[in-house]
Amino acid sequence: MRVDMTSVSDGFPDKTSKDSSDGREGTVRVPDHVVYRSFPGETVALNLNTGRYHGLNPVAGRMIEALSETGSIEKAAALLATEYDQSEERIGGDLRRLCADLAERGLIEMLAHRDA
Amino acid sequence: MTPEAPTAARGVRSNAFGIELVSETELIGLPRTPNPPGGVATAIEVDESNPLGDDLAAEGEEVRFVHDLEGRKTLSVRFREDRGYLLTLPGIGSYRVRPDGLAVTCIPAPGAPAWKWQRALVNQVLPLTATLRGFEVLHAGAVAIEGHAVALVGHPGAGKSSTTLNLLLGGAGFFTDDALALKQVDGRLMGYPGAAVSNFPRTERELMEPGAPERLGVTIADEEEYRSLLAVEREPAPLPLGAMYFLRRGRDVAGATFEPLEDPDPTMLLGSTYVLSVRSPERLANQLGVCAAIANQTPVFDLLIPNSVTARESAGALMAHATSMLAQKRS
Repeated sequence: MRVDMTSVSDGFPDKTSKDSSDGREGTVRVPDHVVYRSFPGETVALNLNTGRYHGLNPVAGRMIEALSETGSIEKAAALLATEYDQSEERIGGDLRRLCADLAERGLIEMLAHRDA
Repeated sequence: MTPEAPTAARGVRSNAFGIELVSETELIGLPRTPNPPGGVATAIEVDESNPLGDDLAAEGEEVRFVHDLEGRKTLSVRFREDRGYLLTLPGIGSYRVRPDGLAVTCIPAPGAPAWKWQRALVNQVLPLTATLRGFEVLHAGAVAIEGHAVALVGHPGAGKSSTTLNLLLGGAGFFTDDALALKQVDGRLMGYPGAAVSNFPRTERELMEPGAPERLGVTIADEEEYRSLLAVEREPAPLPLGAMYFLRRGRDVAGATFEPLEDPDPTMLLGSTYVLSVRSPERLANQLGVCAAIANQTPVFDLLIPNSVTARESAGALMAHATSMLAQKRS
């Protein structure tokens, strides 16, 4: 499974946000200033704060949908493992890499799990 | 300084690009709406007593400009968050548009003919105003075929205007000349008629058989070597967007050839939008949403036209293609 993200149109210089989590565990949310729209061949993420567009291939687009639906990497991995007939471990690894990349671009927010 | 509230609450009611309009007098391309619906109208006012001063021209940030080949500025758009947009077309006029798109003030340049500053109003200012009011506007001509709006997109020289004119002569309805307003309504992408004017290339006029231009509309003005401005009868109501054709010239093909774009490039669609100067978060989100809706709902085609094919021939091929496809959709 290949996850690919490229900038599809240069708007204004992007301000990458600093992510405080290490991306290994936790909940995920799409911030209010980011919209995702599905096209037949890709999903486009738009950061409304910067006016910058980012293209995601269909697999990465589906991952974003699953993350938005479930709100967590673990739950999204379980959902996608069934869909793609892959192990949760493998899907989880892809999701964590994607999340780290998206978080660096300010396209998702990651909140690390806290022990009770 | 807070923008003034619209004052032309009463007057001539018209519409274009999806927005209701009210003006003190009837303007070119904006015929009176017989039974205007209720709702909020954008007020158009004309201020001929106030030629543009330096202070006005200098306000705000210039967010867009266009130069001609000699390097002269032909369009400038300035923006200030509290006052909105100021469009200036040297020698033609300046136009203030309130940030919410509910008021437009036209300031004709001294000596500018009425048709010139009114043409700029409908070609440049109202598409921007429609964008501020929640529509997304494509840089596309459009005709009505089988109860649908059919959009034609193309770079200058691709034959968009001449193909459109020949489609009209072939029985299509006039929908819009160069800017197509779109909005998603209940999940469906609707097109809205533009102004009732067409910028008619003079070269095309010379190629037409005698009497054909008169069948299209009434000449309002002739611009020396380039084009005529025609008043035309337009479709009266919004129509669902039925198809979109990207016209491309000069490819090595035998005749007019249609290639379906199953997976339209988002950048191509985003690059086909008309208004470049409005970059509010609301607009950017709407722009992306409408482009995604086009890609997901609307048949999109490349129409490849070799240089040997005339506009009349390519229009005939397009008419047959669109009619066949949309007639099936209707049934």
